[in-house]
Amino acid sequence: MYRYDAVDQRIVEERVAQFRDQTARFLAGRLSEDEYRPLRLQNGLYIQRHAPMLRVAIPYGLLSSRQLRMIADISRRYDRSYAHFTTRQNVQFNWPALERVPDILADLATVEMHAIQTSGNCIRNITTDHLAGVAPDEIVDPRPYAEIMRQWSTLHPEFAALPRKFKVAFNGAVDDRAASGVHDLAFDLYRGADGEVLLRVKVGGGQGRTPRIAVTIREDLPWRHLLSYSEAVLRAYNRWGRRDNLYKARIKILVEALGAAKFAEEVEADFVHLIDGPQTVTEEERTRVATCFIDPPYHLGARTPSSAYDLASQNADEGVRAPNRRFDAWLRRNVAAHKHPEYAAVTLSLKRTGPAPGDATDVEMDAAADLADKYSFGEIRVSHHQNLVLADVARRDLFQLWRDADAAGLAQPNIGLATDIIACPGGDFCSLANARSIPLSLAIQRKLEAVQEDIGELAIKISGCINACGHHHVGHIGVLGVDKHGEEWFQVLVGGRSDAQVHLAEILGKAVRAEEVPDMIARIVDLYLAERTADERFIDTVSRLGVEPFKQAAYGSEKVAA
Amino acid sequence: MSALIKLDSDGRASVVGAAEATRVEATPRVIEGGRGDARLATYVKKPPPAGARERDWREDGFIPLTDWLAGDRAAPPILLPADDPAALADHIADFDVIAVAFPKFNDGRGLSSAALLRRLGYAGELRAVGDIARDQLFFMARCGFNAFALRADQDPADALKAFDDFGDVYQHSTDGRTPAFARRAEAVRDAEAWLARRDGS
Repeated sequence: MYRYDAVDQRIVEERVAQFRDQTARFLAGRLSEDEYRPLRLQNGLYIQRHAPMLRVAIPYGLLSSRQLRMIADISRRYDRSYAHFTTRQNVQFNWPALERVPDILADLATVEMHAIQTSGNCIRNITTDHLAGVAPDEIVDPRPYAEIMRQWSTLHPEFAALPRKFKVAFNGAVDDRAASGVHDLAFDLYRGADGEVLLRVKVGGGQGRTPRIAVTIREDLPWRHLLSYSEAVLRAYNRWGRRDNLYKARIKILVEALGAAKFAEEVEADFVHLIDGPQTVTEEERTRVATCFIDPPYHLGARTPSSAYDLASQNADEGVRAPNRRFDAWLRRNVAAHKHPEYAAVTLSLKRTGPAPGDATDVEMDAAADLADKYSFGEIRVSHHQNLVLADVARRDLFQLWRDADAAGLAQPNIGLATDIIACPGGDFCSLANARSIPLSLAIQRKLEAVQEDIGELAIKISGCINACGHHHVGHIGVLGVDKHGEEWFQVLVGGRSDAQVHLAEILGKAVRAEEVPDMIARIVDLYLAERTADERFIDTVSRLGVEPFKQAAYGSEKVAA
Repeated sequence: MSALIKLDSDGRASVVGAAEATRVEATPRVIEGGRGDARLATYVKKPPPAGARERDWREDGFIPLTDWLAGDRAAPPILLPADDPAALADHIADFDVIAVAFPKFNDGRGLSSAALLRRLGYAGELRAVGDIARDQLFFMARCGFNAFALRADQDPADALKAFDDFGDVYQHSTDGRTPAFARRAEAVRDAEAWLARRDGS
C-alpha cells in the first residue's frame, strides 16, 4: 500500500495544526458556526443528532493492520469502543467530543491517516474496487491512479468550495465492483493496442434525490492526462454547477442540463490549455507511486498437500466438504477467486444479525488486524458493501483462518446474501434521516436469515432518506425511508444494480410502515423462488420478467398503488 | 474599516492599509443570472428577497463587469461569480487592478475566475473582495490572487499567518508553485527538515 514519505507526513500534520487552530477559534467564539461549518466539514466533522460524528478517510479502502489497530484504539479512548465502516470505504466515529477531535486527528497522523475532505462541498475520498490488484478479471490495477488522484485532490485550492460534494471512483476490471456508474466522475482503466493505460471518462452519475447513471464524455484518454482532464471537468462544474438549490447542485444536473456532448465540448475547450502542462503525470511519479502497490511475497508453487489445503482448494469434492457444513458455507460465500489460484480473497463479514451493518467493536477491529497480520500480509480492505476484506490469503490457510475468524465473530457466511445488507446509519444517528435504517435491517435479516442460502445472491440496500447513502437505487431490493406526517414510512424498490450492467431500481408503489417491509420483501422473494429457472439469480429473474410482477407480489394484486 | 493584504512578487504577505476605496457613484442594481448563455443558463438565480439588494461593489471601488462592459468605466471592473473572465480578454493589459467578488466565502466560482484571468495573461493586482476571511487566504493566493480586502471583523495579523499554513503542495495551480511530485527529492529534504524542527521544538 502507499506509504507516506516526509512530504505527505508534513502536509497531514500541517492540516492537523490548521484544524486545531480553527477549532480553538470556534470554541473561543472568534469563528461563527456558519464559518466553522464548512471548515469542520472539510475535515470530516459533522454535528449529528446526538453528538459530533468524525469521518476518517480510508483512501480507496486500503488499511494496514497498524492503522486498523489505531482506529480500534481511538474508538476506545475517544468514543464508545466501536466504529462504523461506510459505503464509501471510510470509517466513522459516532460519539467524539468536538474539542478532542484535533487530538484524534493528531493520533491518526501518526499512522498516516487523516479526515481531509471526507465531507463538505469538495472532492471526497477516492474509491475503487476492494479486490484491486488481486482480482482475476482485472485489466489495470487502479490503486496507483487512485493514489495519484488522492494527492492531486488533497487541498486543491481551486476546487475547495464546489457547488456540492464530488465523488470520484476508479474501475480497472471487467466486473465493475467500484459502482463507478453512480459517481460524479469515474474512470474505467484499460489498455490500448500498444499496452498503454487508457482512461474512459464518465461524469454525472449519482444517487440521491435524482439518481443518474454516469455518461461517457471521453474514450482512450492516455493516463498521463488523468489530472489535467480532471481539472477541466472540475472547473466546468465549479463555474457552471447550480448553486441556488442544494438538490440540483450535483454535476449530474449540470451534465443533464447542458447535454453530455455540450458538457464534453466545454471540458475539451479547457483541456486544450492544460494538455501536456505542469499537471501532466510523469512516468517517474507513476512509478514512484506504483512501487507501493507491488505484489506481496506470495508463496507460489508450494503445493504441499494437507487436508486443510484440499478442503479449501477449489476442487475439493463433496465427500470432503460434507462434514464441515459451516466451513463449506463460508467457503462458498466469503471466499473469492484471486489472480493466483493458490490464493484467495476473504471477506470478514460485518453483517451479523444484531449490530448495525458496517459496525465493528474495538475488539473485533483488533482481531481483524491480527488476522491480517497472520494470514494476509498485514493488509485489510474496506469494501463499499461495508465489510472487511483480506485480499491475499493462501488457500492452504483458509481452514485455520476460518476457525480464527469464527472465534472472533467475523465469519458470518453471508457475503452477497440477503443478510449482507448495506444500510446508512439512519435516523438513529443521522440528523438528515427520515427513518431508522438499522432496526429495519435487523428485522429483514431475521426474516430472511434461515432461507438466504436458498435465495442465493441478493443485494438489499437501505437508505434512511433521499440522500441515498445506503445506495437503495442500486439495490436488487432497495428500501428508502420517507417522512409521512412525522412518521417513518418506507418505499420498496426492485431491480437496481451497481456492477458493469449498472441499472437504477424502480419504486414498486406506495410507501408502507416499517413493520410491513420484511413481509413485503418476503413476498417479493417468494415470487422469485417460484419463477426462477435453474441457477438464475434474483436480479436475472427481475431482468427477465420486468418489475411489474414484483409490484403485484409486493402489494397483492388488488392493492397496487396508482 | 477592513484591512488590505498584498503579496509582493516573492509571495511575501503584508498589510498595506485599508481596503476602503472612494465610492463610485452609481445606482446599485440587481445582477441578473447571465441568461442567453447555455452554460450560465443552468445557474438560475433566485429573485432576492423583497428589499434585499446585491452588495454594492461600487463601494469597494469597482464597477460590476456587466456595467463596465456596457461602458461604465469610471473604475476597474469587478467580476461577480457568474461572470465570464473571457469577456475581458481584449482589455487584459489595461488595468493595474481587477477585483473578483466573493459575496459568500463558500461560493468558489471566484477561484476559477482568478485562475482564468491569469491564464488570459493578466499580470497586475488581482484583488479578492467580499466575504474574505483568514481561512480562505491560502487557497485564494494559490489561485492567483495577490491582494485581499479582508472582511472588517478579521484580525490582519492573524490573517497574515494563513499564507504559511502548508509548506508544500500536491498540485499545480495558478501560483506556479512546483507541486511536490515534480520536485520530490528536494521536497522530501525540506519536509524532513520541518519534521526534525517539529520534533526539536
